[in-house]
Amino acid sequence: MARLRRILMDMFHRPATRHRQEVPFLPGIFVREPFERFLLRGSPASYEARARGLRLLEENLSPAQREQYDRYGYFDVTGGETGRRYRIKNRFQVNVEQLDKKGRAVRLLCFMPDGELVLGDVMLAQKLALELFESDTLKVANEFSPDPYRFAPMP
Amino acid sequence: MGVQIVMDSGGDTRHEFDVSDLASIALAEKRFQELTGKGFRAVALGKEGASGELIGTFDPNVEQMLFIPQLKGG
Repeated sequence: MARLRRILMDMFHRPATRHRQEVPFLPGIFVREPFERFLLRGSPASYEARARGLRLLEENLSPAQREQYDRYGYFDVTGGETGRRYRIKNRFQVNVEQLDKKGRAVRLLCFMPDGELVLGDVMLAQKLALELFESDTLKVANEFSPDPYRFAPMP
Repeated sequence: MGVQIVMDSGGDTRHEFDVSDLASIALAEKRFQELTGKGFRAVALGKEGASGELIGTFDPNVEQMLFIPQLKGG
């Protein structure tokens, strides 16, 4: 029974979370590792770079953040200067939400490190930026309303 | 041994240096100056996912230094 449970977890839980990645040319579509390997075939260096980036990210998440990321594909960080909560999602752009006390998004932030970095690096840079130099980060970040019907830069 | 981890398009590039070798430390310090001069932020990585610390001057005793490219708005 335990073995069957492990197999089912492996089939349904792990692929949906731990190694999922957004397909670059299909926004919003997440795929599991073997399928991603198929989709991104022909570019082993690129695949290796992505894996390396995700490994670096995972090495530098706290146990709670790693568990949250494994389960939901995002993790929360606390701003080092204001104590605000932010949620970093598994995407390249407009992937950081500032949360209120009830965990609702109050604004979306878009900022990233310069250069063509892989997803893991982008998310790790965002985490460290908010934890270690939050005010400088907020100065460069563009802000958007979390309301999908009013998706425009905030005044 | 210390290691400098530079985020780049290949994921990252790691440069190890020997804290008991002056030449190795000098090379690591030069790399630190070059990268921070280009706008990279240097972070002393913490253990177990702790935030770590932003470092403004080269410290050979930092085991893992991560270099983050300058941030931009998206």
